[in-house]
Amino acid sequence: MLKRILCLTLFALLSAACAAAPAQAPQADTNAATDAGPAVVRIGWAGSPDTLNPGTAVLSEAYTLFELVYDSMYQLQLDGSYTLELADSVDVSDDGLVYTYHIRDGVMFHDGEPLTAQDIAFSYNLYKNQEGFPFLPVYTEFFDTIEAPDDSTVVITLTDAIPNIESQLIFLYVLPEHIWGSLEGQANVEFENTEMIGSGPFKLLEYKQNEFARLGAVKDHFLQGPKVDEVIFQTFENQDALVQALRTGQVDMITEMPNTAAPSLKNAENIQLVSGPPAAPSVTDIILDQVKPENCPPDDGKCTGHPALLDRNVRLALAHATDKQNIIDVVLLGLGSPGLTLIPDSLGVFYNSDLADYAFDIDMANQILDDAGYADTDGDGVREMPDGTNPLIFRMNWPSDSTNAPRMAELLAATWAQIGVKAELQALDPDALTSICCPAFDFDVILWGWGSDPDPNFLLSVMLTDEIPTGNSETGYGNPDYDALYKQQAVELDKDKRIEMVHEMQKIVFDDVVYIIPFYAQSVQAFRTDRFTGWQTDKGKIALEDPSSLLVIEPAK
Amino acid sequence: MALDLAAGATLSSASWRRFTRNRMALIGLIMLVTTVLVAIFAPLIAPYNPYEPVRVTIDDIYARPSISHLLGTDDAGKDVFSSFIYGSRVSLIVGFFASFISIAIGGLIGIVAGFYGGRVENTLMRFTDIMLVIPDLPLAVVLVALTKPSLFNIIFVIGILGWTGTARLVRAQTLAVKQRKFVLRARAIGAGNWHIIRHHIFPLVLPLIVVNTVLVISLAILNESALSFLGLSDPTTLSWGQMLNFAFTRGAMSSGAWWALVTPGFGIVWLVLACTLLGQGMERVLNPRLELHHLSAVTPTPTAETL
Repeated sequence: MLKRILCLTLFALLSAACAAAPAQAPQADTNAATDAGPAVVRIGWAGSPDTLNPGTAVLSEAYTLFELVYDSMYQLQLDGSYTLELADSVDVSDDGLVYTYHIRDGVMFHDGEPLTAQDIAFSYNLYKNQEGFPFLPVYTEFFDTIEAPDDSTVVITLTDAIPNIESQLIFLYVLPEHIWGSLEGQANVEFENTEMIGSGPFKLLEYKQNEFARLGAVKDHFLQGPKVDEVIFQTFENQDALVQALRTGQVDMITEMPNTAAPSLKNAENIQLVSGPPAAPSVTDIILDQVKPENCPPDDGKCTGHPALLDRNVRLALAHATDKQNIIDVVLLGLGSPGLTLIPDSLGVFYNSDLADYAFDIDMANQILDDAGYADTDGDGVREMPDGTNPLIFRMNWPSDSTNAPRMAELLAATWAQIGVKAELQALDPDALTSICCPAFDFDVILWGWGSDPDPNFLLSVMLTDEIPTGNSETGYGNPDYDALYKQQAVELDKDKRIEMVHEMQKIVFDDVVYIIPFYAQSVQAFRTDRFTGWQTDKGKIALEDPSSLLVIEPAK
Repeated sequence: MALDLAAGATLSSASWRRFTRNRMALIGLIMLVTTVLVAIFAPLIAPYNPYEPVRVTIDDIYARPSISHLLGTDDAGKDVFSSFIYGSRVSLIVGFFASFISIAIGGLIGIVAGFYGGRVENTLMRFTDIMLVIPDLPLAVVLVALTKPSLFNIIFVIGILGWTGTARLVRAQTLAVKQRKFVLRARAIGAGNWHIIRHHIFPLVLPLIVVNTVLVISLAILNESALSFLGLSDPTTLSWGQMLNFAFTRGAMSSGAWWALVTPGFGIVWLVLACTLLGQGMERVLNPRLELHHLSAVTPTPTAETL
């Protein structure tokens, strides 16, 4: 759900064109592997959490820390399954409306206070009622009441039976009531939470925004204590500096890197490069503005999109004129797979793999436009609308901090030109892009992307008619059949039936060419083999910064 | 021109001789002419057409310099040498046209302010001061973002932001020329403002404007490179700043692909240096303060020759 631009390359461009100096790192024992000192894992990333407040954080770096420092009711495993974390069992009422969680004994916060059912109920109620938290109310939408009748029982009563309570709860981190309980209203939103007291397998020792976060191991954690002693996340100016730091052994693992660096790291000594589906699936999308005049948001809508994009034939022709494999080869160096809809392949059973992608076929695309009456009447190489006006010139924008989009735009403009469609390319500052995007609909084509939840619910909601005025719908697509199916699947308890509906929804939006999805990018990470062993590289998804790896790695002998 | 033909001829041939004796200016001129020739004959020089689509695999990107790719390949497997050759076109076009816009605006404001003085001068020069203190690049970034991203708009934005220095220089020169005796004499025999500006002020300000044009070209080239480097230009328009942008954001350093960074950087330095050398050399040759005018009582100082 986090709208995070394709690749987080910070706007550090003006800093000298040499490997940028890393932010100052805390002094740490660098020879953990060879002497008896503490085992310190140093991880390099090119970003930094925007805030440590779980209610308001947006960037994925913040969520990486939350996963380590906080516990929640469920834990998402790399294979996509959920396991109970804070509770040891759960009872579900027959009507699916009442969930009774039995909380484990002896769970402690990092400051020594016990974590009880009251803390859990307090946290969930806070997330549900605090309107200043931008994203979290989505997850508590179906929660009627959350109560803690005693220290070890949490009862969640729902307004409707829902199939996916696990994925609703994983991002609702449990906060200590003795710290957050004293905050009122807006103070919760503004709380910086620099102490970050949680109950997870790591505790925050030291934090400097945009520099580093130092975490200490909680060896006696109730589930599994880490084998290493400390983890340091260090912020680097850009991804090139990250790669250099890994090469020189300044860091032991990097969470992201430019794909273009992959060939050179492949052969580097003591470095292993891994790529695979990311734990947090990401989708790159080509957004086609197709808001109908009657759906134009009355307050914020400008709705200046090109009328041709309202025609499915034009969108279909654009899809046929998009060479996805070449885009993947050039932009991602092959480290990705062709996309179909907003629901990425890494969502497993929810992904509809039966859809046959629109083949890259310029002739067919031209034929579609010819048949639909879009002819180049004035012979300038650009087709006009069937009535002879309004040539098919589309504005194409993308966020200026994206490293992939400019090359993608270049490739798209080249193949689209072959079917008589002209693209006017321009990068825009992400804020400027948001302001023209939605709900203003003051654009034709945008290259952007989504990060996905493990459950498809949120990304399916993006294409609802109801989301057009809220700004969540980027395309302005409206289809009553789709909207109805969405409502059904949200409360369908039979998993197979729900999957069937989710597949049907993907077919609808694929047939209507709501988006063109060029690719689902793989996660590309690398680590040093001479420092720590045990990184989880073969569990289906790649997320080395996840607890699944950090809890089990140990110093290399 | 106020100068009669013969005097003009001798003056310019004298200037040319002084110019050729100024080695720096000559080097600058040769460098600039070379670049212009390369830009004109780019399709003949470049071994590949950089606008042609290429199919790449993971092994083709950032290929080392070799016989088939003299300066290696970039992040999309394109020949860096060919892109470098074609990139000179955008830099030159932007440089020349943007500086003409700058010079036209700056020259007009400078002459009008200097000649009319008083309230006109005050208004124009305070406006110039305001434009002078606004940082060029951030304003250019905003303006480019507001307009459609075409080469024309880049030229326009750079042009309308780069005139302040010229305006101040030209105004100072106009003030100096205005006080000369021949201007007063012309006025005394009844010449109008327009006549004086056209026949007495402009010819003496022109050399300064020419010199300034060459110097402003280098500023315009740098600005264009900066805007492209920041990703604000059309990615299908190949320029040196654009090449740097792609190399920098798409991991050239991680891959050790120095050729993708050094080559466009060299191009920018080469062209800016050419314009600066030429401009400074011309300034010494054409500096109107050292110039002999047939009505002027001022005699040239000998120090000019020793430069």
